[in-house]
Amino acid sequence: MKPSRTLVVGVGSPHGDDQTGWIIAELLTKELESSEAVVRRAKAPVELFDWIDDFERLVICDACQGLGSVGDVGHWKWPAEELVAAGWSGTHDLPLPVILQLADRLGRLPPRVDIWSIEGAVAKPLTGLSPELQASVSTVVRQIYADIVRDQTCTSNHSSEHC
Amino acid sequence: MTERTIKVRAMTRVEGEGGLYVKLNRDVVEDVRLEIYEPPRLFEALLRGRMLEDVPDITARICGICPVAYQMSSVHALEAALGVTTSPEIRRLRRLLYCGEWIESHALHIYLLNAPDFVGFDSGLDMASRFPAEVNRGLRMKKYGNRLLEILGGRAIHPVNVAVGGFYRAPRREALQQLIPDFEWGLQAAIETTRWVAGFAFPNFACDTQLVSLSHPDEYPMNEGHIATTAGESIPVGSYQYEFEERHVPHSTALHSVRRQTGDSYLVGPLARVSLNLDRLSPTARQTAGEVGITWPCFNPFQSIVARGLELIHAFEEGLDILRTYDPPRQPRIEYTYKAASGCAATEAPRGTIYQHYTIDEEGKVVQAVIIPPTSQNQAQIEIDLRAWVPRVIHETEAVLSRQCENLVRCYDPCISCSTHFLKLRIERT
Repeated sequence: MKPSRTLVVGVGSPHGDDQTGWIIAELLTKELESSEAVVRRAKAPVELFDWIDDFERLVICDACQGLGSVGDVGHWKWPAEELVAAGWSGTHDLPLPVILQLADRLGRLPPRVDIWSIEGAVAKPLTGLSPELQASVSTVVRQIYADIVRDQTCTSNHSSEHC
Repeated sequence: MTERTIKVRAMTRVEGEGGLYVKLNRDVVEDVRLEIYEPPRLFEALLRGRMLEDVPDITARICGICPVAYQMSSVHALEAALGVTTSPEIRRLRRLLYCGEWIESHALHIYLLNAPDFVGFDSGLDMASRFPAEVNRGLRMKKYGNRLLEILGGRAIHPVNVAVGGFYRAPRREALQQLIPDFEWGLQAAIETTRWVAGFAFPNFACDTQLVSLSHPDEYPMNEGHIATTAGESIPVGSYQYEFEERHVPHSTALHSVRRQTGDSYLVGPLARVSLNLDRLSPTARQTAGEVGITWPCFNPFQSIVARGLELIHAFEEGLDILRTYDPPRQPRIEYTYKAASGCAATEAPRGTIYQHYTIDEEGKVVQAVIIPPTSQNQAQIEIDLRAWVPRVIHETEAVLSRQCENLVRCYDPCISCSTHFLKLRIERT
């Protein structure tokens, strides 16, 4: 059995806490350098269609608002009704849940999809990441890294029943 | 019931934030307002005092869908001010960059934003269940447009390789030529797309307006030419501000562009470009234009989707030609010296003509900047079209009427963020 091919996509922008997805992607690029995983940065969820084919697993990281307190971490496995009902907004009315539903209807969604999100505070131009998010970013990076490494170890050892 | 007010508070499948208000008194349309309330973004003021080299990267930030047109318009205007003439190789690379942007923008608009209106679905998501092969085709074309932008522009959104005088780095031949098989597929996909959308049932509707676009004697207009109109005018770009003017309207944070002398609205975008430049489309696009059952020039905004399809064919075909014959320019960027001067340029964004004008000082700093986006130029015409269109659908339910109005607005592929600059619709019946 080949190690599972994982695609990690950080969604975001250069502005304030909206950088969260990009920063996670950047940190994971270094951490996962020797793995089978591919890490990308996207500005809009629709860009997922450029990359998702042929992957067995998709991990998405994004900032969000409405989850709870600033820095709170959310983790969902798709399909996640909670996310669909949340009514995320996005450019051209194609927010992340819509893109994931569309990929699913087109038969292009990888079998396993994880969505990680951190509650942000401000997303203004020329602002950095809020201090409250720094620790959360590290937590999410550690968890995604450990998850991917465990996943690949399990599949390459033919011992997925223990994983 | 004599009075009706219909309000669509959040119009979908347009880029940016705004609203549409329609007030009806019996069968008479009393008021139509495209209410754009997205805050002004003040790019023109932001550019003042900046070095001219910063301008392409800042203007690219105006739009995530058509950054190339914004940055290239600024580059051309600044080069006009500096007296810079680029090489034929740089000029071809710039047209290739436009091909990439037209492909990614047109494919997105046709398949996910506009086609659902014509096949009876509320969204691209709903349409995907019934038309999976078509939606996948659109997404794949968009992917190839984005890939070209990545290779040539450094990244697909807000490219960073565009410079005043040319490019910071010319792409390697192999990097571009690896796209040839994808573009060969894309050309066929674009032909299938155009034939598919041409088969939609279009309302018999024509707007009484002028079509306006760039026109060039030797090529389909992208980044150069004079301004042509269906009134037979040929206006040098340098005279743009004498012929067109932006006006404030109370209900919109975006300015409305009209003809200066008459105050009349006009229409820019793919419908105008194809209508005014039919004989300069690429051979396959020209042939397909003759097969789709439309008489050109075409004044039916609902058929803009067919014009967009023809431009997809053109962009893939011209792109293929450039990819097959590409040799990296020996000098990717032409040197220049600063001088106090002014310059302007107009180029064709996917959704219509952009005009920009810059004044710079002897140290290369921007003194003044003027940016007129396509959606600003189309806003007045959209309102006039709605006044003519609403009586045709006035007896429909509120939901159907709202949807029909949204459909018409979406045909213009408005980019409200660019013009301020999303749309919410309110219809009042009295």
